[in-house]
Amino acid sequence: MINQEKFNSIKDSVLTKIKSGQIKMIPKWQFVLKAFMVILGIIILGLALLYLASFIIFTLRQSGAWFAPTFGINGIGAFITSLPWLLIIISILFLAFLEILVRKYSFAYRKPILYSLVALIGFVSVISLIIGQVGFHRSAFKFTKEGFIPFARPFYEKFGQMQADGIYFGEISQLKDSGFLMVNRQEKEYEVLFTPETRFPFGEDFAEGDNVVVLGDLNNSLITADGIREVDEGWHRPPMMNMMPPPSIPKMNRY
Amino acid sequence: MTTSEKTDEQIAKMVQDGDLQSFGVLVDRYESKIARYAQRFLFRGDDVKDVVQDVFLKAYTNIQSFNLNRRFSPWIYRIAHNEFINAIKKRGKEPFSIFDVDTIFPHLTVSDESLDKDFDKKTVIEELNNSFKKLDTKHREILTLYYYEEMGYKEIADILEIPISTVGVRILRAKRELKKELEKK
Repeated sequence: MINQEKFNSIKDSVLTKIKSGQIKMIPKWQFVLKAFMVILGIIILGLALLYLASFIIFTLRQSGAWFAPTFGINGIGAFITSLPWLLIIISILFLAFLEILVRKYSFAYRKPILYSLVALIGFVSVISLIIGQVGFHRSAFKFTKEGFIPFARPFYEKFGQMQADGIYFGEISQLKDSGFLMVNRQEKEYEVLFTPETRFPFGEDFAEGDNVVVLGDLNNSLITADGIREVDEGWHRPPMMNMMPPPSIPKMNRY
Repeated sequence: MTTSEKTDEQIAKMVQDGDLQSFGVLVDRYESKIARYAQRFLFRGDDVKDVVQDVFLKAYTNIQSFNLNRRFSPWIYRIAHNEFINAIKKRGKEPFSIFDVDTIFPHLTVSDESLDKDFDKKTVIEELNNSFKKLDTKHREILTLYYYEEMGYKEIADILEIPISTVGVRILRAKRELKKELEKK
């Protein structure tokens, strides 16, 4: 049993310290400020995370790697090797900090960490995809190229123009009997060659002016294609504009 | 209504408004509870008194952070929990990890009834008195809160800031550890 007498003086001791001013109450405004800082931290981290996650999607779309998984196992492999791991690690760190801040609130700590993490990841993914559709980073990239937002320029130049191994993104400039000529973002021309093994997950009906992603082996300027697919988004105009009908160019069969 | 008839939350409001003497009423109400919690959790003799005193001093210092819309009991127990963890860390004799895998994944809810299938409450308390020292710190704490302080899952979850489902799982694991200790005898 606990010896109650041992604790008899606690109340006196505590009240004496309080009355003598040895112990002081922290004013309410300090707690309000602290709570405000935590909320601000959550907002800033959340926005930073949304920015990074949508930027990762943007870089993958820019390199064409985003579309590679539709080509099967080889495409998935190319997608994984093309991931911007540095940005992903930074995003995971942001997510971890965000989780730590959010778990100060009972709505978060009363549930398993997995739930709040899944909810956070789901929310960030959906909003990032929406940001991608609106063309935020594409416009920002364009602005940095034109000399606006100079502090962001190195960031967009480093990550926005990343090349993915074995994945080529370009616009068809000329159809040929066994393939087509394609011009990439840097105005470099490639010849894309079809083989019997080439996969066309979304059909083979290509036309000049189509934007395509090609998975294959590059030899000089000849790409032997493992897979080819048309993509809706061009790099010359924001994705919202892609909803408008393209100028009518007659579709031609490759044969 | 006299001060002694007021709720903890009403008295906390009086303290927040500058009535320092009322804090003594809160100390009176919680002194033996916090002392018992400390005695079970920390397993120490003389310096338990100092730690308990620190809990009340901390509570007074931070009383303005107490949200009057919530219950006072989990708030002061949370302060006690933090103070005791600090004391354990300072002592450095017992391993105490903040990380707990059980807080990550969801668990099926373990009801109070199922917890008492292998052990009734009386047996647990008797065995706790004998084997407390041998139990893991986390298990010791959760059994103290559940069996001695007779708190519910939600209250314990708020004190330890862990998921409600983890409370049930941790109690179950604690009882299993207690059972193992019994079998060793």
